[in-house]
Amino acid sequence: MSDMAQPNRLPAGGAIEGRVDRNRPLAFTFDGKSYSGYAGDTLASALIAAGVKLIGRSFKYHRPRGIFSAGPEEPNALIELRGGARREPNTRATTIELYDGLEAASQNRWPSLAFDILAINQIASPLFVGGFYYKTFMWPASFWEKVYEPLIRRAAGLGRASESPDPDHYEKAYAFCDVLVVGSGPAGLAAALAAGRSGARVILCEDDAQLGGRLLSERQTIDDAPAHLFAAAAGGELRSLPNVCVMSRTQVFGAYDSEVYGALERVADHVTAPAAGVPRQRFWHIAAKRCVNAMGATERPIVFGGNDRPGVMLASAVRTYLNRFGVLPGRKAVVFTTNDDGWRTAADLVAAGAQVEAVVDPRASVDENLTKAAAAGGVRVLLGGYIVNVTGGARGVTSAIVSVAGKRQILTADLVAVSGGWNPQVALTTHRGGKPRWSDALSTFVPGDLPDGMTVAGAANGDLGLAESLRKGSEAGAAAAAACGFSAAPAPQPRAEDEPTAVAPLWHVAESRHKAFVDLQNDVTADDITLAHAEGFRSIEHLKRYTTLGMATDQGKTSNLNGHAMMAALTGQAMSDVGTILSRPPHQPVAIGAFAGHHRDRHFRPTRHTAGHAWALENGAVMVEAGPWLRPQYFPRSGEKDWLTTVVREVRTVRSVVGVCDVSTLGRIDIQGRDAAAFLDRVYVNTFSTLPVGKARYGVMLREDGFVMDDGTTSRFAEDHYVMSTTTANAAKIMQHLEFCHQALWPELDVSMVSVTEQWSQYAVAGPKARELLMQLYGPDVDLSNDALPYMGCREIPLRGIPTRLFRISFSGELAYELAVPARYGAAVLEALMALCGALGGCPYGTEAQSVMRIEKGHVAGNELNGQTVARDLGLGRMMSTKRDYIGRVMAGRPALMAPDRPTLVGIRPVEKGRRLTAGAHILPGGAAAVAANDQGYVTSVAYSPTCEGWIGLALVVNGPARHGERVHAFDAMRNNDQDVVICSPVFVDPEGVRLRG
Amino acid sequence: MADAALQLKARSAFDGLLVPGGPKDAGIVVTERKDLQIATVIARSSGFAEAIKTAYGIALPSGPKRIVVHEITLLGTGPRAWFALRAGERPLASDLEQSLGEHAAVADQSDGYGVLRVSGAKVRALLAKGVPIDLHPRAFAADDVAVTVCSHIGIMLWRSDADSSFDIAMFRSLCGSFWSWLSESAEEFGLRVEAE
Repeated sequence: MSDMAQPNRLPAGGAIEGRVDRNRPLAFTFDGKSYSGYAGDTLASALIAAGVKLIGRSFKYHRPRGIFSAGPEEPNALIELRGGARREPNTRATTIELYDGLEAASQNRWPSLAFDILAINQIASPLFVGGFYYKTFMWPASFWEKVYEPLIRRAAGLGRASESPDPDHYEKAYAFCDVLVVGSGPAGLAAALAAGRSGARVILCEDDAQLGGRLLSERQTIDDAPAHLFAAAAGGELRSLPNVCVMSRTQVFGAYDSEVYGALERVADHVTAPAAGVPRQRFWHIAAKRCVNAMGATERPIVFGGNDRPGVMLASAVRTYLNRFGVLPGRKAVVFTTNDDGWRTAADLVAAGAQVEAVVDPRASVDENLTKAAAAGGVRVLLGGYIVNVTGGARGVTSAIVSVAGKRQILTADLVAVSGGWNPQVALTTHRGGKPRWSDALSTFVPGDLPDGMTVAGAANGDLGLAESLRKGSEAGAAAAAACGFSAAPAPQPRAEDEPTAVAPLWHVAESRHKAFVDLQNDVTADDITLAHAEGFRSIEHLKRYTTLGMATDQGKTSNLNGHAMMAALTGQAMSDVGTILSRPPHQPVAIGAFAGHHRDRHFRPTRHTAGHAWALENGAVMVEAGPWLRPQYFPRSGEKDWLTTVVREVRTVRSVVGVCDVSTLGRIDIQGRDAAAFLDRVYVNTFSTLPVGKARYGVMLREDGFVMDDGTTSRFAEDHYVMSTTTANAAKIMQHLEFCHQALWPELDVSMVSVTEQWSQYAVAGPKARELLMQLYGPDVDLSNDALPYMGCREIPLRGIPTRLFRISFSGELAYELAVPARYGAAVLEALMALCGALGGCPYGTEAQSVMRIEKGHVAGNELNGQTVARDLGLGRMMSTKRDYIGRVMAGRPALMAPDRPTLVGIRPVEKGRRLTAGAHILPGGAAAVAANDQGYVTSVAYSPTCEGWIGLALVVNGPARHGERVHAFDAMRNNDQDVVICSPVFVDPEGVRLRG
Repeated sequence: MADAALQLKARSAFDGLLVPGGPKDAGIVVTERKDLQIATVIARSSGFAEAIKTAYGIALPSGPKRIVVHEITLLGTGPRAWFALRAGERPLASDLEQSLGEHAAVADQSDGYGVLRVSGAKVRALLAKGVPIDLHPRAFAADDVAVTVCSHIGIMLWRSDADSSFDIAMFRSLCGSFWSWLSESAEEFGLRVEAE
């Protein structure tokens, strides 16, 4: 042990040297201090090598804590990884692969890790017992939010989030296979080999960077060679098979319906920053016909006094640090084990050159091979013994106090290796409702009912021996492949031995009088369990909520069973009756960013652009979202002080000269067939079979319940060919509705419909000079006179060889057309239109000006087509055919919907000229109190009308059409805008329609 | 107006998005199929199959399958519905209307879709990042067609003749969003854009 920088690194060439790459030293910092480790280390192993024992402070009591495990179950060694925007709190030092330049910091301490002021919480610890949230800070109630909660959050907590946007990219991906193998320990490798050799499509997921699981941590042999060589060879063979995909650094975190598994691939967590184009993490959605769950088992600790001190470590973790990483977690050790497996730790420590003071085993007798081996290594054996307390502090363990047959002795030690047995990783078997089953032989829960398609093999199923794991894994892999129709010639089983694994349960050393921790992460002590029992929180689900046992990043992987067993002892229940708490995916922390993947910021959802999008941006348009579309809202010019100035200018230009508006986002549905006319007569309230070819008609559609669904114009291009337009918002819904009507209601009709929204770019050209502009565009050979193309006419007209459709329809109330061109020419035609438009003194206009003009004309839109209005409410009652049936007719005839006092469309103007109206204001009779009983309707749309030179609005008012001229009150409590308004006709501009027929 | 001012230039769906170039050893190669005539074909009568047989001498397979006849690629996209494509200038919709008459409703969609050919050694790894269906050759055969989504964008997907080459059609308005997904997702594999 020569290296000054890594005093606990075992020398190369020794009996135990580990398998880190000593030719690749890596530098890192912890709390600002520089250290070094090697490629292949985790942050935890490198810190142990460097002699760092104190890693963090505990959640509630701020007790010094060290490294407890060597895997994802780590409850203690939580650190903040990286700095700046990439700072990631609560990462487990035991799972972080060391990389050059790694920065880590301890958390939950102030001002420093070694001197932490809030360690005083230990003295005040009676305040922090189970349920302390509910008891201590109850009074006065107003103090909770302002005083207690911020105080507790600062004092009891985990790491700090970066609070900056995450600079990295995350991805989602889909994978499919015949056989998914979860875990690459002996059972997983054997399963993957058996399935892979059969030709089945196999995915092998391993959480670690290296394949092998416990094979990397033990001094076992397979085929007479070190077991890790078997793992390497198996990995090599699997990677060479084209039908096998090996995914390391990939944690399968959940099992979902339809044999789908969620997995997180840590693509670039082991480097400072991801390379260009590489995501940090990738969220996999894996659909697997069969799954072999070989996730292994987690060693459980024992609850005894001082069991949280830095230097108390799981016995199997000690072996991992020795055999895999070549680091010595302590020089003078005591092993406290209830099972045969823990004895191996003593042997490995001795082989590594450490001194083992004693093996303490509460069992009265054990296999004599164990005691013989211990004696040969010079290790004392204390059968029938318990550790009742461990002394030490921030510098680590100093001694273990052992009680044997009522006599206590103090053993000097800097390492206490502890093993209470092994808990199979049952999480994946429970996500779809399976309940684990209690095993008396193993004193733990093993998988019970399994999800469809899953088998469990190896330690995950309670088969702890190496030979058995290999055999069961192989069988499971072969069976899974066979179920998918693949088989391979049986291969010889690798030679291995089953190590002794006998266990006697011990959850808690009752003799301990010092603070004994059940849940290290949440600072739940043995006393808290007793208290919860005394206060009646005895169900394990209640125990969890009351004490926080099993919460947070480790989800109780090292604490739940002990806590539940202790409660069972208090209530006198059998563990099979106690059961397990309900566990839901994910069973390991998953960053929210991984679930979002590509879909963040402007990629949150897809955006639809019209062909004129680039032109609009180049011309300064302010864009607005209209469903998934982006549309120009208005086109500000320099010197215009606000949007209203711009919109007023746009409206005046359209009403006095001409304007062009991109209306490509409206839905267009091509309807063909001999029965197209009959079909439209059934879906619209008004008649389309009488529409002449070459004409357009405004139509209204109802839902089955009689309320208005959508409106728009439909044009007839041939006897059996119509083109329907829908609102932008309802385009997809109407398409669905029409398909439903045809497929489910009237399949006998010869009619077909298809969306052609995307085929056409469409532009509204409106204003007194609209015809002049279009004549210039089409040239002298095309006749656009009133006779040739009258109001509500439509024609197909070629434009320089391009097929176009020209509709004489108007939303603005002006002489107006809509020009449809194939979308590939959409940009060019818009550019041409705008050049001509500009020369005539016109301008482009956006959705705001469009909205102002439709309000001026009293045209209803989304605010009025709100799903609560019937045609009559909107002044469209006369359109409803009385001669034939159509969708919604019967329900629209319900008395309440026919009642004359339903709120009906009117216009409103402020009494006080110049006063601003607000939409949403309620209409009350003049002088009436502002209470619901007096409510007579509400304002749906308002606009500043340049034409009327004042604010105008549309409203739905009881008995509206009969009340034109009446003065009422508009009450808007939301915006404090109360005023008197006068009810008027909803058509403010050109009520005779002279302009649009011009 | 003066003819010179009226240069109506056609712009393809991915115009301004795809810029030719990229590494020679790119794992992903993308080409926009600009020259396609596209039409949707919906069977109107029971005589449709017979009409197809008369016009093209073949029986249409049922289900989501691709068949190529007389240079026309027909993709089964739904019950009674097909998506037809043909390279070149010759108008496809009117040809189909002529051959199928009353038996089909045909709509020209040549401008409604953007179509990309995506190929390269990493094409399946790329598509796995967006397409929730199994594209392994054992699961998605050479003549298979899928109407599915990619990164929340509705697409039609089929294999062109080569094993590692797919054609993807999507609504023209969504090409920008699709390209943003594709270019970002392909970056790690290397991306080359080739002119047709």
